[in-house]
Amino acid sequence: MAIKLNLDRVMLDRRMSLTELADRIGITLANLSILKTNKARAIRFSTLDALCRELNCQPGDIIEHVPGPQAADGEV
Amino acid sequence: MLNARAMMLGGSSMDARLPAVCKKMFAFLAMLSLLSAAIFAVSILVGPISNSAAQFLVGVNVPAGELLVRDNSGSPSIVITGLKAMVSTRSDPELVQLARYYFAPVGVLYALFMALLFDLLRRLFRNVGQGSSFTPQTIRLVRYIGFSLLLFALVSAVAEAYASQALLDYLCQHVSSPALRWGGSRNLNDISTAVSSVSPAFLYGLLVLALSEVFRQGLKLKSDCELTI
Repeated sequence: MAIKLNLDRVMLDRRMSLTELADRIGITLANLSILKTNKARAIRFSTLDALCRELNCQPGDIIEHVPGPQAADGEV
Repeated sequence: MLNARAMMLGGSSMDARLPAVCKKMFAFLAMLSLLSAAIFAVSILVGPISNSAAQFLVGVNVPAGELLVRDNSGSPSIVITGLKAMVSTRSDPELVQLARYYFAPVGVLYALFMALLFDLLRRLFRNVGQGSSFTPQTIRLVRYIGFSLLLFALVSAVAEAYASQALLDYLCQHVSSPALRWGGSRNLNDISTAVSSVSPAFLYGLLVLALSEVFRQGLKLKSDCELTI
């Protein structure tokens, strides 16, 4: 997918661990790990809102569009 | 109102027990089918003991094709499309051999297929009971059921045709009347005979294969939902 999440970079800047961030935004560690490793297919606005609030950043700081070859339908 | 809505969303306790009940039922039916197949197989290998004094009825059902009944002049006086009758006969070694080598194998085929089908259904309901309705394993099971039905429809059509032809040959040789002569037989190469011999299992197989596609799309939706954080 051409959408890339730069969660690990922002977390490093804010000196926040995965466990702490997961507790603060109210999602499981497994789900946060899915986000961090770019395996997620979609993100809810409520989750994005919680991430931006706890990391004190803008959505554009976390989400980046990387142009590349289009994936086939149904593929990540 | 809230309680009714909760019950509707969560399902009744009967709905929750249904997959487990179905699983046990299909397991029992699969064992029963295997037992039937074993009994048929034994009857083929050992052969029933024929009692010449015994008298029994033979059910005749020719579901497709024509049976021409000609009188002494040779021209068909009656055309019977399909024949269903009960014929009373004394125990005839040839009839016993017919049952042993033509009808018992068809019985084995049916029983083995039913055992396979019930086992696949048991595994399907086990998965559903565990909450794994939309998984690759479940989709595979549904596809196996569909292909099994298709294969069974084709194989059983041929097997039944041969068994029916053998019975018809027996009747032609052993059933006679001063006024009438049996004439005509079904042509197994006739396309219309083949098409009309294909059982509804063929259509059910196609339906189940279409259902497997629905399951596949369900898996995709479930995957999308799980990966939406």
